[in-house]
Amino acid sequence: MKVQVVESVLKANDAIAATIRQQIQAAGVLALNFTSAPGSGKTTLLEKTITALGAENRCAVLVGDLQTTRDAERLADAAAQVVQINTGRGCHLSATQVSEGLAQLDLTGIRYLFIENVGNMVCPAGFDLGEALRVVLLSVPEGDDKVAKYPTLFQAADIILLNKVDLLAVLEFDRQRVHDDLSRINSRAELLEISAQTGDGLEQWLQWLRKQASDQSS
Amino acid sequence: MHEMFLANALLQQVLEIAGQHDLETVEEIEVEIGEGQHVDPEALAIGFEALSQDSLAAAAELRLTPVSLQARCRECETLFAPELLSFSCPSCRQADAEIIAGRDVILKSLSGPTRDPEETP
Repeated sequence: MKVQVVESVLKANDAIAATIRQQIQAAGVLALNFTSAPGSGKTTLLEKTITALGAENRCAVLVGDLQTTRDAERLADAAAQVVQINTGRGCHLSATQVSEGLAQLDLTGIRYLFIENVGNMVCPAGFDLGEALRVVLLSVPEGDDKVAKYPTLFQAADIILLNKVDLLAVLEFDRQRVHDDLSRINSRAELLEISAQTGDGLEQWLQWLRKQASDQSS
Repeated sequence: MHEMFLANALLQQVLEIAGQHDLETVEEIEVEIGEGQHVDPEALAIGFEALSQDSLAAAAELRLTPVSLQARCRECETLFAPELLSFSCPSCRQADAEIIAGRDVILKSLSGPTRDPEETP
């Protein structure tokens, strides 16, 4: 007997992601999935973002790493709630893991849910976590060719943040190449240049965030 | 590793469907591997073989077919096949594309003998 199936192997993941999406939207929360290479500055960006958003915008964070609770510890002071997900050997977060993490959060009064994915420019691109928006970080020390080298990740981004621009003075980095590659891979996503460490460009990032939150509410 | 995650998800899906259709064993599994998943077919096959031992799918032949990316331009609705370096629409040149095929790993079909009803306890 031959059974025609024609279903994604990730159907189970996608179904859970859809449930997560509904749950988060019903709670009036804006959820963002942050992806990048390891060391691009996701955690520092989240620390600065949460602090700058202020007490009136309570934030919850789900952090994914293979090992350690270091990122969750760093964010514990700034965020209203933080849950660390250790994937063990998993190279990306899955919807199941996000769902389990969400079960440990109380979304009442939360404005933003930041999901910090495992540092990896390949695998996270293929997994829906139920987020509303995808943020991709790229940082100056990684080099200017990453957009072309990892097109699937950048193609799905809603916004791209070029971080560590304070290092442009000391590193060779061709910003035009990033713009050119993005124009062929994702011309829809905004590209913002920031330095999470110095705060350069942070206000534009916050304005974008606030606008997305208010667009979602309306 | 990524391929192990997918191999496990595929196995669970195969076993669930085999159970629903009362298959005695699974002899053949057809899978389409979308190029957007960046999956190494050999690694997927090895992972599946390892995970499926002692299951209904232990002796299944896994047939993997690659599928190219297909996209629809959100600006002008043109359908096109993006090459991995470019998602620019050939009509309007905007790179605002929705991937409509080649993004996923898809279980296309599975086959095997059904249980003999007289043998079912």
